[in-house]
Amino acid sequence: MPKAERRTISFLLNGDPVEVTVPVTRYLVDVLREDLAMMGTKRACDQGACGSCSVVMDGALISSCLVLAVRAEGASIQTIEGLGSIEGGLHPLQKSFASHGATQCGYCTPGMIVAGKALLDANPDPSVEEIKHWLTGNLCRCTGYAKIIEAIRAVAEGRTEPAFPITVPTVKAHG
Amino acid sequence: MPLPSLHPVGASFPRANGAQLAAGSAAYVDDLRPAGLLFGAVLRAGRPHARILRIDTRRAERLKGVACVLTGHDIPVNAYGPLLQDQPVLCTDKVRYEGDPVVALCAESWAAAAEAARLVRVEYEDLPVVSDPEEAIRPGSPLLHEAHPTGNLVLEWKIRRGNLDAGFAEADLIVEERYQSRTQEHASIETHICMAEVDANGRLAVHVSSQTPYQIRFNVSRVLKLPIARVRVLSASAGGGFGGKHEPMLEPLAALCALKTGRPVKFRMTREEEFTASTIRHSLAMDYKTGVTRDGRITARRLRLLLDGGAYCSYGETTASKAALMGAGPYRVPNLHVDSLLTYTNNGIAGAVRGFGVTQTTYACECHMDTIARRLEMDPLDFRRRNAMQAGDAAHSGDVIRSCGFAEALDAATREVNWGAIGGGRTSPCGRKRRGRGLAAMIYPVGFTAAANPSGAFARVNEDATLTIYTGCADVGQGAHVILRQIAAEELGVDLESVHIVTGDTDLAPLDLGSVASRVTHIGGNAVRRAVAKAKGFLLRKAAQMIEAAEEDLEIADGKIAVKGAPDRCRTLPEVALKCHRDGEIPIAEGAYNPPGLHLDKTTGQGKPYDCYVFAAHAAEVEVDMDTGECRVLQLAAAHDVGRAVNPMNVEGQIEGGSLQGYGFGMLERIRYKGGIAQNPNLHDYLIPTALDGPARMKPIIVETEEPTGPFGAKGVAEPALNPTTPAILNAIYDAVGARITDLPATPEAVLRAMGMINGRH
Repeated sequence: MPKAERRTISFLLNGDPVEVTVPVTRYLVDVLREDLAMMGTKRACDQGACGSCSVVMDGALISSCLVLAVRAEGASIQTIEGLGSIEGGLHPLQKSFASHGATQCGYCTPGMIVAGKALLDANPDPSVEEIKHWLTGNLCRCTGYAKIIEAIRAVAEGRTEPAFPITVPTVKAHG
Repeated sequence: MPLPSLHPVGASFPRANGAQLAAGSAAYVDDLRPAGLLFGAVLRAGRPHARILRIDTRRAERLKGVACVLTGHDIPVNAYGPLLQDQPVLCTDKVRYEGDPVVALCAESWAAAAEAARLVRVEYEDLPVVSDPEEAIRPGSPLLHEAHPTGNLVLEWKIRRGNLDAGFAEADLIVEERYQSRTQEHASIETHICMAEVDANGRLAVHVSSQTPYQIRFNVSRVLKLPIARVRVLSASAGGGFGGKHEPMLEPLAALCALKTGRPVKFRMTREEEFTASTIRHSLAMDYKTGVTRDGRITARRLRLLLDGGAYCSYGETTASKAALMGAGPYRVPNLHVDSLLTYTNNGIAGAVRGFGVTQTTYACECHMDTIARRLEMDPLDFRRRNAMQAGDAAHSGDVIRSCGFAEALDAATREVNWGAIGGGRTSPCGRKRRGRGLAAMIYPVGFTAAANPSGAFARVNEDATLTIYTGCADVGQGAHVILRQIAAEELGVDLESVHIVTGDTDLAPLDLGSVASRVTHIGGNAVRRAVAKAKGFLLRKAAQMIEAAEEDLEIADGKIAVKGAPDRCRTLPEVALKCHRDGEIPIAEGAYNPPGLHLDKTTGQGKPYDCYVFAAHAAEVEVDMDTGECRVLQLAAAHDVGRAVNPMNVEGQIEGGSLQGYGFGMLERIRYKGGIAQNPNLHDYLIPTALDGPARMKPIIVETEEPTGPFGAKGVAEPALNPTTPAILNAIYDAVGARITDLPATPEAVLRAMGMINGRH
């Protein structure tokens, strides 16, 4: 197995400068997850077919499994962690997804929310039809998309109050 | 229709972990990165049927960074399977489908593991490929499992009810049709994955994304010959299941690698392996023959179902039996014969998939019902009403149906789409397009009894009267945990926030069969309710002492235990709970539920195979482009009898998601095989529905009934949601353009072919 050339790259990750030395053959999704421990970005198809690894690079919505990490040199990357967190406060889209039942298994959710954010940045008041078109690059097998579309519409309409209170988290017995 | 209201049962609480999921901070197995982690790879057959002559792993073992290489000879008990143990953990003598695993190994990186797998040399002698189920069971066909007593016929399921010949003799019209369904991949967004590690005491911890953690524990301990107490299964967040995350395909490999290396080991399937190695939906060839009287009463029905089971039995028996027991639909059929035949072939491996055979038979049965209604010149709605099962009727197993919301579902779905005013081939405002309406219905069972089907739970009332529930029910996205909390809170008489769930660890909660077969709300819910009821008993006994009243005169409300009709004679729940603990009468209890069954006669299919039944009706309006064959679903109303809806938002989510999966089954999805090799094993060539597919307008409708066996009357909804969607759409296509789709999926080409516009094979 020939060893790939390594290169040091620097970029802005959710507003913070990062520097990382990686093989030139490594994809952005792997650098985010394995080198930078940004686990919110999911990988699921490795072919740019499902959108689970969606991030925003210099304002454009991309599949990070299709972009070599060296392409991120000097770029500004936003991941789901950059939108908000439970500790630091959730983004309205994150709250809306949680309260509208727009997450089921949740594996597509970070990519879906990042895509929704990119949509609202470009078009703050999208119609249902526009939302459907925009989301065709993000696959969800659980929800049928209905509640995802509802959650995005709610934010566009400024309905920031969740439909229902977010209740106490499930206690996981481990980890 | 809605039942008298309860609370918190009946309210739409969001799932508790929704915020973590939306924040991207919920930990899935792929997100676990302990120090020293090794990465696994599986070398698979890559050919559908061959004898293994020699396996040479020496070059792989010598590669830098490779920690451990396994063949089947390393597996202590190298066979597993839920009914027949016909499936090797790693093949040693023969491979029977392209995804059959031959060598497993682990290394310092995913790349090194993949490289090592490429260095393994396996010599094969190819064998003739069996790809057609009808051919498979002909005498002289090459055998997949030489020792199986009935050759490539895995097993047979029968229903014999009434007098078939007399029933057909009574008929004024007999209609015979054949329908063919095709494969479907679960396509969970998260692929199969697991991680195993060994703790300081030599115990195995297996982190899973599984619907059935206790079955994983059982299987890992069985194939590795370890006592169950040495195996701990921990559930991480699971990225979808749909029946696919059911079987121990990777876990024994990760566990053995961890035992051999002493390091944590992760195995993960690629998207391609999801299609070629993990289970898929059985394809069925279905022959339906039905006799009816002139006024639309069904007198007799005969079904022959031929299931392509692929290389191993897996959950084929469950699929063949459910297809047989439900295949005649939610109708009174006095004289019924069903033969359901499960075959071995070299096409993939068919197993558990949401709908379990009933997705396929509902498609056939409901299109067949539509054909009959048209031959009778009856409205398909009236024809269904004429024959509809009702509460008190027998299901096709002879079992009595106690709750049935079928008539209401038919009414609600058709009312929603304005049934009387749509369809009939009317032209669309724009272009050469025609519109049609279609209806389809379904019966589905909840709580199988033919095999053990237990759920257990513990309930503990804490010193401040909060409640902790210990459950083994896995939440793979369906929202099981919030539903169990609602049931627990309702039973104790407290609010939802007072109930916490401890879950995801087989060390802590009692056995649970798993999140399969739409059983969690009904069976897991009954177990939780029973456990809470027992724990509540401690509080009532203690309060009776404290208030000096009879236990049966007490009630729990507003955080207090009070004498009925004398609310001043009361103690607060925390006071009573604390007193229980201080007196050493700890309010902790177990509860279990295992639905009672009767002997099921396998030669007639008669008995009591299930605890209860749900019903549904979907009504669709479709627009067909006469030139391109493209079909657009303008609206779909999906009405489901779910018993009591414990959490209406979750029920809606299941109906919406299931319906779109049903749309995929009928309109888009099929793994195409050429000589046993999948031709489209990726999400570019195998399309699942996007946000733009599916109905332009989708309306989930909840029909509530009160099921006496369910917790607070609940039945279930998960699998049923997808079953009637395909036939509702296909019947609407027929109504629009007169084209009957008898093979799936209904692609534009298939529609044009059925319209007679183009020729050629599917």
